[in-house]
Amino acid sequence: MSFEAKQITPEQLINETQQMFNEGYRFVTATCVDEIEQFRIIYSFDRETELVNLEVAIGKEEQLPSVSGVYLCAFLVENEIKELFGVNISDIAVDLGGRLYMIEGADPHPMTRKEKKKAAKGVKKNG
Amino acid sequence: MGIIQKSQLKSPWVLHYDCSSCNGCDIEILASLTPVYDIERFGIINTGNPKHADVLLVTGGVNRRNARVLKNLYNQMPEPKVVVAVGSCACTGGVFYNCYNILGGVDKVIPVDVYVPGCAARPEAIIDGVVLGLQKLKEKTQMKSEEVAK
Amino acid sequence: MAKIVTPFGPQHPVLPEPLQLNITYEDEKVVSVAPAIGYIHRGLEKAGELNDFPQNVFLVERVCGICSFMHGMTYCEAIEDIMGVEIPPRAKYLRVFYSELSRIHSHLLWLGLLADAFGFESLFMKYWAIRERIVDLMEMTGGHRIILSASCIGGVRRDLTDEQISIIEKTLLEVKNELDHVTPVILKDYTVKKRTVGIGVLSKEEALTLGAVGPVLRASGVAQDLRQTGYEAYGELGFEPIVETDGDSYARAVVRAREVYQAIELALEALHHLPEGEAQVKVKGNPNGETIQRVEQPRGEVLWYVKGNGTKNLVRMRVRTPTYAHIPALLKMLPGCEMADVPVVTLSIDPCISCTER
Repeated sequence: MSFEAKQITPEQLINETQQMFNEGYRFVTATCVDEIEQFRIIYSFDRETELVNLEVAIGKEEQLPSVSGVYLCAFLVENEIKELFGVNISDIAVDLGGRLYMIEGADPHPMTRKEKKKAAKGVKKNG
Repeated sequence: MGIIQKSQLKSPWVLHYDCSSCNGCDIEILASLTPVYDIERFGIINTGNPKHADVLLVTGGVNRRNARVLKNLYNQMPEPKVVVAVGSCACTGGVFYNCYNILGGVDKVIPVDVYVPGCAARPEAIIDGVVLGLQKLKEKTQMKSEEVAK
Repeated sequence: MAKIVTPFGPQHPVLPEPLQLNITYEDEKVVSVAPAIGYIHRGLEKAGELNDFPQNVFLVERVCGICSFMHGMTYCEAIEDIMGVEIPPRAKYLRVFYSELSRIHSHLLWLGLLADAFGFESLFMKYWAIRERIVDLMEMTGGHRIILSASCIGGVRRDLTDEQISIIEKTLLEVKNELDHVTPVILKDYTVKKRTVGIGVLSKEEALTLGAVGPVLRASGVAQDLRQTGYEAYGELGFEPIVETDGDSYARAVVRAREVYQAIELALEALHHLPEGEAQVKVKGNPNGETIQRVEQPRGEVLWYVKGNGTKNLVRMRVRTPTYAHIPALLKMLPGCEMADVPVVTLSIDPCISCTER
């Protein structure tokens, strides 16, 4: 599997990102995964086609600092995560207040998963 | 029918709006304007201004944000007008039927006269759809002139 | 001079797609830009969790109609990576061939649209006429003009026959000849240069910190192309990224005009080295695990994240498309340029809004 991530805490996030910036990495994207009891956010960086990931796990109500102070271009994806998942991200450089896609009259955070799905059956099948 | 109504049927101007399509139908609409299909030989011209348009070509299903834009464009077009829904998404919502932000086909928001199926709809089908729409336009023009005569 | 705010889009004659930029002008100079997106947001990532994972192949091909094959291919690669499936060598070469065909089609389409943006309509028609030859090849091999559905989990759905290959080779060489008459217009013509040189400049440092990818990054002098990583069969085909150093709209046009030739070479080479054997392997079971997969699309780097939990439904499917990465760069390029240059600069990033908003 071509996917490795360095586990960090929300407090380390800004320092680690700043280090990436100083080493000349390009910000690729942040991916939020809803693990029902918590959120996992994977930050991807690229330097000369080599991909490096940082992974943060936070509780559903916890606050996460924004990396857009380091990489300005992160504001778009952070606004998206804020709107679609309802992750509490503070101090986004260009904060659209969770109104990026302006979904009106629908579920406020449509990407969150609510019920637990049974995984056991498929695992057996896969061997 | 006066000379304006007659010439409107001979040279309808189309307005294209992309609701939430995947681009497939949009590039096919553009392709039907370019040399191989060349709908300009039928007098059909693509315009950017809704106030000049007789036919509205809509691609893609309607989402919560662009429903208002679509209604605006429709209301700005002068009567009589024809709406052609291009592609499966514009007809029913298509492959995006279970996306949370899709309301459904174009007919949820504005009345549709012609449905062109296909994912993506072929340029031949789009031209056929517009020509079919012209018959509707003729009927509407006649109805309007009868109303005026009364 | 008072400032005025004008909306550019969502319905605009230059862009076939609804992108809205609220632009503040002072006199005729752009001062600041505020993007408003969401006109095409569908919620495709959520739908990917509701569908079965093999059904998703058809869904993800409709992320964008232009780079449709590339999205389908990357998704299939991600699923194959999780499930540990090794696809046959013939499928790898066929995927390279289809990718390059998509690239030729996309770049020709864009070069035409750029010509249209500065009012050079005959050049637009010329490019689109040539593009129809490529679309015909797609229809012959994939069965549809635009959305090919050629890729499937475990390989490529449609194999090429020898007769088809000879037709493709002949057509691609003819396309190359036709391009030789048209490309000099983009490269040398006075009017084209007048409208593009020095417009929307993005320096090398800005391009890197703002996260630009693909042709925009290469036009700013960074030799980075994910095909260098040698995914599928690119490692065996030999390949050098095309780089320009000026970072303006003209450099971006030149990069794409040159990449068309490179893509034709690569497609021909892939067909020339096409190995014998099957084009598809059977895949059983469900994906369990997560992966990140990246490929180089016509517009730049695309990133797919897929996570499965052993059921037929995925837990998470995410795509970061090239235009998404270009929006911060676009907001940097626009201030300072003239009102009439806004369509040209906007088009120079090759915007694909249905990719961006999914």
